[in-house]
Amino acid sequence: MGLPTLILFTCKKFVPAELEAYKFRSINILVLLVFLFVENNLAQNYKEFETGFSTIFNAPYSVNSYSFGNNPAFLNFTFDDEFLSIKNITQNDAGEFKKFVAPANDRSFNFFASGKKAIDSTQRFKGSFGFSKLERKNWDWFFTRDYQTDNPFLIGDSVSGNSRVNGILLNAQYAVTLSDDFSAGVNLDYAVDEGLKTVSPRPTSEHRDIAALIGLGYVVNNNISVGITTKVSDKNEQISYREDEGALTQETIILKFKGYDFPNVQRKKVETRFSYTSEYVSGVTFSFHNLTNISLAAFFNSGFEKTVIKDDALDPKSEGFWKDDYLEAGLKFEMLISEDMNVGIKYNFTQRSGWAKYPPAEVLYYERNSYEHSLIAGYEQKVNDAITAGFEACVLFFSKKERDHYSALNSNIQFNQYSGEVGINFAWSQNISSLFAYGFSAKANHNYTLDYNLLSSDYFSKHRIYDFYYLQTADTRNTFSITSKVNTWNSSEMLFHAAYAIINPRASNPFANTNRKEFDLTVEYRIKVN
Amino acid sequence: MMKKKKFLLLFQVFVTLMLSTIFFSCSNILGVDPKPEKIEREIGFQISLKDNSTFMQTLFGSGNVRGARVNLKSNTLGTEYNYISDSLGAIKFTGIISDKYIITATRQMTDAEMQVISGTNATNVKLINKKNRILDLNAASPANIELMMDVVIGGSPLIMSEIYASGPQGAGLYYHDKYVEVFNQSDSVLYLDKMMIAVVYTNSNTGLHYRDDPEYIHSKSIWIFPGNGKDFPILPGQFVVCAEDAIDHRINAPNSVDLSHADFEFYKDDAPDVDNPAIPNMIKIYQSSGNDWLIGGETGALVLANFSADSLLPFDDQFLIPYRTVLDGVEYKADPTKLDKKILNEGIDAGCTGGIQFYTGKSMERMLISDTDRKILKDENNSSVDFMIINAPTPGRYH
Repeated sequence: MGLPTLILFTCKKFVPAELEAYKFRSINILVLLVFLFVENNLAQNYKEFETGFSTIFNAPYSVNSYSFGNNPAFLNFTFDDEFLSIKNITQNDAGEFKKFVAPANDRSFNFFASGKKAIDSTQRFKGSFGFSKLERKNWDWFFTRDYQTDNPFLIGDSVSGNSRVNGILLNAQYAVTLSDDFSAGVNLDYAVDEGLKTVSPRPTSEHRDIAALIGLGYVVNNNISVGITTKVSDKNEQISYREDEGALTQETIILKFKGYDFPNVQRKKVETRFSYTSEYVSGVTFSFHNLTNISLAAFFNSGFEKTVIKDDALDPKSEGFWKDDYLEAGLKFEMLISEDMNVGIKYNFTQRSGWAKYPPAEVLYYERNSYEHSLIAGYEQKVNDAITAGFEACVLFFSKKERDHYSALNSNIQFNQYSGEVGINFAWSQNISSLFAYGFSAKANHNYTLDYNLLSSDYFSKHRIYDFYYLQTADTRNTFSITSKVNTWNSSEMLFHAAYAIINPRASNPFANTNRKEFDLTVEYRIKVN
Repeated sequence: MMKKKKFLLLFQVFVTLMLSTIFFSCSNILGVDPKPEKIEREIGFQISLKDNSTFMQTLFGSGNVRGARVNLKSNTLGTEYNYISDSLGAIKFTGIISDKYIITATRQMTDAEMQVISGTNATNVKLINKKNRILDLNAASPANIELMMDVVIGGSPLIMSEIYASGPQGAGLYYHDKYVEVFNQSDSVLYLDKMMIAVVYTNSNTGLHYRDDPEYIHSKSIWIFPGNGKDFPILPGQFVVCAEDAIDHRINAPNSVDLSHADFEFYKDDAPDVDNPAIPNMIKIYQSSGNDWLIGGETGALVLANFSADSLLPFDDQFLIPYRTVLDGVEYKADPTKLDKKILNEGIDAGCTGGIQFYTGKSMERMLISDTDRKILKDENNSSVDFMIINAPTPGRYH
């Protein structure tokens, strides 16, 4: 009882006075729950669960071609690992420090029921069914769900307001061992959702997303496995503006963006936009395990996404075409130096090259080239039987060049981001463990240019220019998180992760006195099948 | 061993396919559109103005139209560009977006030039692009676009200066305050007697229209001014309001307009229509349906013609009005960028105005060119450039 009492005491001491009673009560309930489910199993680490760390606190489970490389052929687990779970993920992102195109408040709720089962010694299955709810509050103008892809063809209306998107998500993964050396796997995703802007003119949206990922794996020897993957996905989007009965006498202004500036401003109540997106990706995966203390996984993917945009329900006409080529590669390394110490390194590289054209005129509207390198190194040390500590450091380099020919503006942005995160994991008992973490990151700009025509319209010079200001503004991020795991009765597990981050712009202009706050909460309950 | 070999073969084939896909351009294999070579706003255009008459040949020994004012207006953005043709009759420009452009080219002939050409002091003679008013300017356009220009003498003395059709704000579905305003553009007194106002026929359900009819306007709503010759004069610079109902609509709709002092009223005597006895009524020649004179709130087209009602030609359930008798024609659309959906012949009105939604209280008014001696309103026979949208109707006056 000593350690839980310490939690109560510690939390009581630090919470603000006005929230003290509420939080104290919440913690009491949490601790009570914890003790109700205590059993005499050793608390495991946070396998297949979000901790906020990339290279530590989940070793050695994340260094393989399934987790790092996404090759379903290596969906590999034993009967002991089978479980059913229910999981809730809540995310909230709010604040004025944002791009103009983003909503002031972005909330998402996802609820999944999932499970994985070893059908026999050669076949594994994993699947999930989920509901998702996305809320975008105080969103200016835009009503395109995937507005972050750099696809310049966005649609919206002149009214600011709240939008929501509700949908279902299905996932099925299957892997089969074909021989001693070969395995194959498939990962299928299916999602549908419906969106609505809750204020007039009340546009609606419908999305249907399908993705199929096929992988093959080959075990070269006891240490080395290689694999290949290919992915095909198909997304349909329909955004509809209909004559809203409640706003029959209200003017509707639809905005169609083809770049950052000069949107087509149309005073009309009825419009339909269709977007058809196809994605094709191929990749190779590699993993190495020396069976004692070293694991390494790597992948390389290459692919592209293309989107065809058409407007008008009765007589659809081509409005735009967007293509995005990308390369991504990653390498993850982990080494158990001793029973008490391990280190990890993760490197990721992404390069994107996108362009947009206006098909009726066959002219290039927009080009974007970006790349990102990130290197994370982690160190984890077991202090004693109850405490494990770890530290992760990350350096990220980002570069993005945009040429918006339609709006006559060019942008070059390059910056570095340095971050560090420290965590301490307490094993309160054999069945309860909690990981407390604090992270800090800082963005340092070292190159930024924005050239645009001084005759730009107000749409850019007063509004969308903030999309660039946001990227150019240096910021700092402080993150606090707690992750807990409780082994409950009948070999089931309760996992909990909460993270709170506050992002403050360092430059005073143009985001003076603003910030952005993010809150993530994940709760999962797992029941062992066997 | 055989099984393993088969798997190895399969694996090799798959790897080869994957690697070739990765490294040898998946785009080509999957038939994705190529990246265009032409870059927006970097394409250069040249438009050469050619004289269909012999004026330029007589004056300068070449058919190139020099010194012409050329106005280009982007159909989707509304951005306007103005140029003057050079000595070769050409304008060259770059930096514009790919779009449909409404082009208005005008070469006003001076008195001295007309003296050389015809030996007379003919005034108000100009060359304009009567036949080609809309240009597609994009990467696929020819490097040099030829634009033919024809002679036009004078302009219409009577024009429609304002059309209010949207209905007022904040009064539900009230729409009885519509009107059309006629303006005397000339410097002499004219007479409205027997002049015709007709609504251009289109079937919104089937999309049927007669835009491409080479000779006639088709109409199912034809009204004429009363009078027998010189009963209803219109003075130079005078506005005449023809109201659907000549009453003070503010009584029914506070944000509407007072039309109780309108000059004429459309009164449909075979229907329960409102009649203000103090205001002369327009004479209904033909309107088979509806309880009142009615024009589209968001989309429609009107013509003002000097044509005898006795000479109307029947066609199906419509009557025909010859283009040559049309003094003015104006088309307006809910989406004025959709020029391909026009219903009025381009020779009468090359473009269209509008973009006004129901019950917004907005009105369409012709632009002012000059206001020195008297008002001169813009009349390029192109509503896309002749009209502007005003936030409230201004019956009988200019805003």
